[in-house]
Amino acid sequence: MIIQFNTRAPVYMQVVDYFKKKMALGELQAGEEMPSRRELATELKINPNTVQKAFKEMEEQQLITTERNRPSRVTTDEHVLKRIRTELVDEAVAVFVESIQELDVTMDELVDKIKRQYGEGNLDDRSTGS
Amino acid sequence: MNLLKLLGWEVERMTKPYLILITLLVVTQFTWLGVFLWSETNMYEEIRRTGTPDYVLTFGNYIGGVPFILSIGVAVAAMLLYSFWIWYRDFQGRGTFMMRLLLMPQQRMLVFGAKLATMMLMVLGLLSVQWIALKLQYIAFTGWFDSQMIPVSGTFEQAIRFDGALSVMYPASFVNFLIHQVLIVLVILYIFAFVLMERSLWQRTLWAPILAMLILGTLILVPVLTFYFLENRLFMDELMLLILLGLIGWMTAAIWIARRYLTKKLSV
Amino acid sequence: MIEVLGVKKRYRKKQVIEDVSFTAQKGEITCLIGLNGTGKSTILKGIMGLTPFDKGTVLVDGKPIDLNRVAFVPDHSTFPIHFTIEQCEAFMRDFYPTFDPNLFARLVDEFKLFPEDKLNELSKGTLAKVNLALGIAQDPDYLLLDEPFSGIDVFSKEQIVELFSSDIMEDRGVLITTHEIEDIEYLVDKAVMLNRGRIVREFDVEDVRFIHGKSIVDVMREEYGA
Repeated sequence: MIIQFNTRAPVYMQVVDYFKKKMALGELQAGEEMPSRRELATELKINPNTVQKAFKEMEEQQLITTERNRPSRVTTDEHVLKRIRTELVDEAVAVFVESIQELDVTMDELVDKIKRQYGEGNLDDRSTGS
Repeated sequence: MNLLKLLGWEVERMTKPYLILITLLVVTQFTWLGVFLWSETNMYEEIRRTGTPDYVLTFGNYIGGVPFILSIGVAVAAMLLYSFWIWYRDFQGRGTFMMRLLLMPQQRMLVFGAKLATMMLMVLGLLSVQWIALKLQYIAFTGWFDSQMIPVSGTFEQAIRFDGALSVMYPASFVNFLIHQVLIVLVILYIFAFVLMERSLWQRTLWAPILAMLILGTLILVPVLTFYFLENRLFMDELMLLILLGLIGWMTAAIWIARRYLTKKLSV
Repeated sequence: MIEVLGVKKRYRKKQVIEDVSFTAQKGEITCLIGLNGTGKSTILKGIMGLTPFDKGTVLVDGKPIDLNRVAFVPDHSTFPIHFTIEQCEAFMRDFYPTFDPNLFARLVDEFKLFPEDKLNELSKGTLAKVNLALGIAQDPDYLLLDEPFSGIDVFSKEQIVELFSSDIMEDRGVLITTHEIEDIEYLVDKAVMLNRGRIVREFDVEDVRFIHGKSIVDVMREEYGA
């Protein structure tokens, strides 16, 4: 597991984002056990306090649940998991829209381009996958 | 317990150079003895041929010889130098071992005690080895001249008593021996105090060694000057008391300074 | 908590440290940052009583420093260079009451050290690991490290960084000096920046990232104008 950290953003938020992505993609299933904080710190080569903070944040956002003296688990709450996905997509779209707006592209042109490129991308995936 | 461990550690470090010194000392003296016996025998033969009767040979002639005095001088100088080196050694290089010693959770004075004890062990060891060597040399000396039927006068004890350096090293009475040991301790203490002051002040000023010397010089001089000032105004008993007080004062001052600088000011 | 309060230090005619105060918490990694020759090492040595400060106080959990609870790892070996790692360990066992041979054995294992190796045969990186192992095995509450990463190879660096995020360092307070923060950017809880013998910044690293979107290097650039 490797995260390319950005030095200018809080590391704990980057850890939270990383797990959100994994949950949204289903790489971490609902109810699945999370890696221990200690393991995670060593693996990511970051401060254990930062990992602790990230876990706390995830608990507050109800992404994970922790019972006393047990490893944390991914939430089984479907609503939360769905919300993460929406959140991630919204965020990505927001970033995308912001940068595209600077280029002054019309909506039609944009949708057209997206359709084309998206289709190509899928095609590529399929060809390499088979 | 920790003092003993530290002492063991210090002894281990000095063993090699110390053995070299002692070997050098003994070898020099026995070589000189061989040369002495050979040349004296030749000279006696010469005298016997010319017929002059007034030939008196004592053990004192041997121990008064330059090579013998030199060997003692080198040993004393080595002891003095080692009193400095036993500290400066630990300040050598960037990775100073002194750091390791100062970071030990024990009292720093234990390090001081261990180094002082090591020095005294070396001094006493040297005195004993030299004593045994002297006895052996005396046996060889008389044995040889007896076998050559060359007359020797004077005893071993007389020879020692009339020799400058040896009469200090081996005084006739036990009390004197103790007093001399105290004086030796005093010299070592002042060397230690000097090093500790110098190693404390070096970050403050380039003149640290001179400053340390000045402070210690004053300390040593005050009782001496007092003594000369009072010498003709006091009775013998009072003078003895004064000397005793002076010695105690010197010792306390040296230890106090060493302790203060070692525990509060020493800079690595 | 280690509290450094108003310390000053003059070296001959130069005032190396002018009135420095900061704290380092237990269970956190505090980094003392400064360009070369800004007095970082002097501060660590001052805390340990190796070069006493001219003025000021140092308190550890409210009391004068207890060398049983605070260990110092300098950026060079403090043992004679002909010593083997084993001999260093034997000395530490004899004279440092809190030294834990099991912990040391574990570190030797993790760092892949060979106890019979002599110090003068080791690479700089390996020597740094030996020093660190000797320091940590004292099992201290606080660990002071002087430039643990300077001039060592990238793999030794990685091993040391990994150690800092492992359970061995749990609950210990760590104070590190460095002039190259990149190696430990993600390890540090708090940064204390030193310039010309004064503290110019003292901040929680994640806070600065969160509030100002700045990395430690960004703040360094502001302060040192590099």
